[in-house]
Amino acid sequence: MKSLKFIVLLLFTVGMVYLLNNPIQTGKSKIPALGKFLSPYTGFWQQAESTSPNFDNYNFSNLKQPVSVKYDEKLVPHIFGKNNVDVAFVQGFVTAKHRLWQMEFQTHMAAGRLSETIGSKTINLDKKMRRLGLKMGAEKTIKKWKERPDTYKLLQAYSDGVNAYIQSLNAKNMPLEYKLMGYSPEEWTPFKTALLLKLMAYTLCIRESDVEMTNALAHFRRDTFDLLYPDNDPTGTPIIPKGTNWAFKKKTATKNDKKSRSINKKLSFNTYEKPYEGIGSNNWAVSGKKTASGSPILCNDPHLKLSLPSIWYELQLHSPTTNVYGVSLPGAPGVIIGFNEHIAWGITNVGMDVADWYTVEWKDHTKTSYLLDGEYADATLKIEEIKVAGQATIQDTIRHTIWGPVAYSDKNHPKFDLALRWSAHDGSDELTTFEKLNKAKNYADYKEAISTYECPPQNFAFADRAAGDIAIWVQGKFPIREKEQGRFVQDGSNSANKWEDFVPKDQNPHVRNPERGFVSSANQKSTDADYPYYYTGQRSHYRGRIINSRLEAMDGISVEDMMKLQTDNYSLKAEESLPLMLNKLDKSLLTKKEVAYYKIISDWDYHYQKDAVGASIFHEWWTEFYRQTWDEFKPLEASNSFKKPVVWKTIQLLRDDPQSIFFDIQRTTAKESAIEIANFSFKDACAKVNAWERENEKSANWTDYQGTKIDHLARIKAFGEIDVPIGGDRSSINAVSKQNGPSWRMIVDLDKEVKAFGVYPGGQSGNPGSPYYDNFIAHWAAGKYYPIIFPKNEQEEIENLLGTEIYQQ
Amino acid sequence: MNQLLTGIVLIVVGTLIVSPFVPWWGFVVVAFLVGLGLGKTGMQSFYTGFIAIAVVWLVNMIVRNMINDGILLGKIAELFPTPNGFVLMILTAILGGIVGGLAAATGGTGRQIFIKQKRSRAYYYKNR
Repeated sequence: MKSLKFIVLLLFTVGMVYLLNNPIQTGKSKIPALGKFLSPYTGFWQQAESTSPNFDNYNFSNLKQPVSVKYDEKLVPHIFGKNNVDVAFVQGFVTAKHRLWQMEFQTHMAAGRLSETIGSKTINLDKKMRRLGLKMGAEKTIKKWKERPDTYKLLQAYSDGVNAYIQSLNAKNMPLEYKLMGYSPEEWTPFKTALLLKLMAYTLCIRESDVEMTNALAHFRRDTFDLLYPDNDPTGTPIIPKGTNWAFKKKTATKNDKKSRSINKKLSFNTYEKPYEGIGSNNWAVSGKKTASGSPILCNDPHLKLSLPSIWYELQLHSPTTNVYGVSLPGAPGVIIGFNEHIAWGITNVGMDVADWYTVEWKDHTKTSYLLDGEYADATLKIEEIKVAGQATIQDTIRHTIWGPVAYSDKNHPKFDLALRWSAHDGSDELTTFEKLNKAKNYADYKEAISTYECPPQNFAFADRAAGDIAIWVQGKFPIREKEQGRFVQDGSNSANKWEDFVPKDQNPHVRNPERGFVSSANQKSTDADYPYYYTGQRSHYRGRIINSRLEAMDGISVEDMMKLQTDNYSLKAEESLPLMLNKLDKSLLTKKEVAYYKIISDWDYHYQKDAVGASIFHEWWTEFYRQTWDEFKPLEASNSFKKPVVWKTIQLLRDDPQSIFFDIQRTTAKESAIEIANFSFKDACAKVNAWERENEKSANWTDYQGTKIDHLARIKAFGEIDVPIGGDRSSINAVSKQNGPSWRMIVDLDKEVKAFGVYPGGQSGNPGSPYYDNFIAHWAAGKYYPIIFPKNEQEEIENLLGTEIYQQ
Repeated sequence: MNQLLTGIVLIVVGTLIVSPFVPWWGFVVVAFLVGLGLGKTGMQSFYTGFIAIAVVWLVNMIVRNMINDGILLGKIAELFPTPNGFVLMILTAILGGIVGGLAAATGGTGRQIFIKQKRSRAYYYKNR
């Protein structure tokens, strides 16, 4: 009897330990091994960091000379080394220490490997990333880097630093997300850095709508198409000022065959979600002529999807040849946006289209050979294995053509697919650009640094202290195009449609010390229509106009003025549309509640301030107005991918042609105009705002109504932040939307001593259990900046130092 | 009563010593061995293990939570169907306690078999 009891208890104990030691798969989600995860000795408690952080000293045989890392009160590391290789090693180690999980997660995303850890939820995303060819581009990039031993040495040192950290990990000190999701980090390699840069390219430079435009052109007549989708934006203010003289000899691509350029029929492919929606950036530099101090000031705020851990990691790198401060991408060596003792630079995304789709006509259902110049050419078939947590590995065949990988296929057309040619498929060496920028001293250095830069194309704003130069270059690798080439899906059976040549880098749009005393960019069109090369793409309109007119009017500019400008919530879009809409409103038809809303919105000053109820009403009114205006797209979108006309075009139509047939509501027999649309949509908007107010039992303040949130990268809700108290709108300089916004605000005053200010919506630590995980968010939301501590050397004292770490052999 | 207290103290001390170096279930071995060495009945051993581990875990969690200013606990509590961090801590302590109790009870029952065998053998020799 006793022995039976003993055996039962023993089995029970062992069974319980076993259960608690293993994760449980329930449907699509995984519960972590509870014993491991909850035990205060091994579990999440190990990441419950002390509010006063500890610092250690480290010994690594890789280091040639000692490196010291001083952490200021923001937990920003100031890395002081005796040579750049040691500095890169320590940058890798320190970044991994704070951001390892994020680094690996992002590169797994680029490589189409998320399902390995997340499970079946991300299979489609993984397939998409592999089909778009990010991995292929990264492989070619590695080859390119290897041709530059100096850059590669830094990259290798950075990787070694990351791996030194990974080797120090065990089941207990493993970053929290690994514990939660039940996996461990693998070795870091330079290839992963290449993947990371391709992920940035994916985020920023698939700015095409080829299928949508092809469908629109096939559906509407040419004149209607031109009206709805103007390739030129005459009212917008370009990045390179109007009247710039393009004094160069235009290069032409030689053997273009104009006979079969694009496809003239509707295509039924479901296009991928466009990653760029809501993403954009501002940068500008003002010359000393316009500032109070007489020295140039440079500002930059890249708008990206807001996430925790933040996309940026702030640091200073100091060696005998370099002293640079700014934000880095966790996973890549060097500083991406920042300044040194001589210059400052900032980047925004270029809207030019560098991704084209080509038709592929297969010989038969096996999809192994396709029509090319009247013959059949063989496609290269590559089988991709996608591992999936909790289920069997999936295989996906990717077919490569002379254009690139076949990324769209459609069940309705068993013999007809689309292949992608994208500049990110090419090997390109962006790291050398940043490495050189980090130590640039003047305009010549800056120009040299960016001269090899290719992808994703960026507007590089520049200012320098000694010479007082300001400049901006629209830099990237841009194919030389025939007019409208790349706007539509192209005929892939004709090899003449290929990108043959590229715009010589020195002919890319740029301007140095323009008359007006400032340079700026906000993702608008790069140049006026007289720029000799044709380009197309997705551009924003309003932010650029606001920035240019504000800077034009400003004089005696101070750093405080720049802070105010960078956080300005004014919307030109609202000012240009709302009076027209209000004008059309028949007040006699309004209910009591609607009259109350009418009063609020009539008094609204076009600023998306946190407490502005008018902003919420306008947001809803505009959304409804836009939706109802373009109601003719609803039936079209049911069968094909379409794109509605842009906002500025819609407002122009409202102003200039309120009787346009596009304002006619499709489901009624009556003939409506912009007047009816304005009235109907106002009532709908009021109903929506009113419903929101009743549900939330408070007035519809813009910040509550918009509800800006910062998601955790793996969308773990508890690790994200919701209802961030901030104003702003996509159309204002402070371009905050529900999930996107200024991911880093930087202002650099290049006075005798460089004075800089910066803030980003996150924190230096990637550990949700650290007080430094999200500690900048409140400051960022309030539109405040941190003064940047930028010591000239190791000896210079850092105020409120948190601690110092020594790294040596 | 004294034996219960001794058992608790032994498991607590043993767990504190070995835990930093072993997997999370290291305390199971400690509780089992203490049960085997001291246990009177299965039930009493269970109490010993339960109280010892629940207390060790709870105190450990309270200290860590204080050092961390409660930053992480609230977030983790959101991941589980627990209303707040306090409840999560209590449930964790109970979970640890149950495992510790079971281990000690297994040890205690093991000892009973051993004692019984010894007794029956002594009886055999005495009456030979």
